[in-house]
Amino acid sequence: MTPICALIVDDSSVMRKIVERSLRQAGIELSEVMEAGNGMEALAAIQNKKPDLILSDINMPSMNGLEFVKKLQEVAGMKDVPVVMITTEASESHVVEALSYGAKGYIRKPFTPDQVKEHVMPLVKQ
Amino acid sequence: MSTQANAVAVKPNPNWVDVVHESLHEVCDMMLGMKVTKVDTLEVVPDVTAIVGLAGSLCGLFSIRCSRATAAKLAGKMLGTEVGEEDPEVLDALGEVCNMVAGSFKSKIPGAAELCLLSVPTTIDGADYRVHPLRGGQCYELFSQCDSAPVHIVLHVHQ
Repeated sequence: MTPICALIVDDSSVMRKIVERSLRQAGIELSEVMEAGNGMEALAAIQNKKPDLILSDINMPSMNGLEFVKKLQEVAGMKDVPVVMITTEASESHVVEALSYGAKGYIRKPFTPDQVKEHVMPLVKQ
Repeated sequence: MSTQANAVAVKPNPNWVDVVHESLHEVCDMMLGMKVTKVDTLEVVPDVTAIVGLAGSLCGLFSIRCSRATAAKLAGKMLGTEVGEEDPEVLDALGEVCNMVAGSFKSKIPGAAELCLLSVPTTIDGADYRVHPLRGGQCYELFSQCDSAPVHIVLHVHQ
């Protein structure tokens, strides 16, 4: 199994740690974990390194998760990076909007490690 | 997002206290591994408060108040590690708990799931303050024990 680099985008540092722990509990080997507190920081982070997987919150200051996913599609070489939204906003319209912008999965907070495994595993090539 | 454009106000319902309890139970069970018990009243030292605003078909304020010791306990359970009362994670974690409980609550209210938006959480450090909603409305209060840690949740709904 090849370890992957994950980018976790959430304005809560506690939640970023929980998401990282859930990925590890799901059996996903991580070579590196990049962190960003909002969409702007995430766009800056991917200039330095292309992640293999992105997990993003929606409600964040400066640039929310939906705007981030939309902008990500315009960044050269990033279209093939799977994005999974992890958010309290679980209305159908948010899910449809996120998927239409290019997100590949949607996990509602609160979540269990099993839910992370179910949504993320099919997306990572290890 | 144009969620609020066609929002029709959701009518407050006395059963919302039970829905808040159900939401807190869901968050504590899935993310914290804690058991929640609803109690009639409780002495809560409100050292710290987390607030999430509601806007759209449901307007108001969702808040969780507890002692710093309780907030540290919640943070420790979330992170699976010991967290000191003065650690920066304490307020961050309480904000996230509030965010998740508010999100879970609105997802259970017909008409609010789609047409109500949540703000990012804000936290208040200190007990010496009062909340004065500027518009009339309803106030729902829930006292709970998360394991043995007392928590006070208040939902102010504007009309």
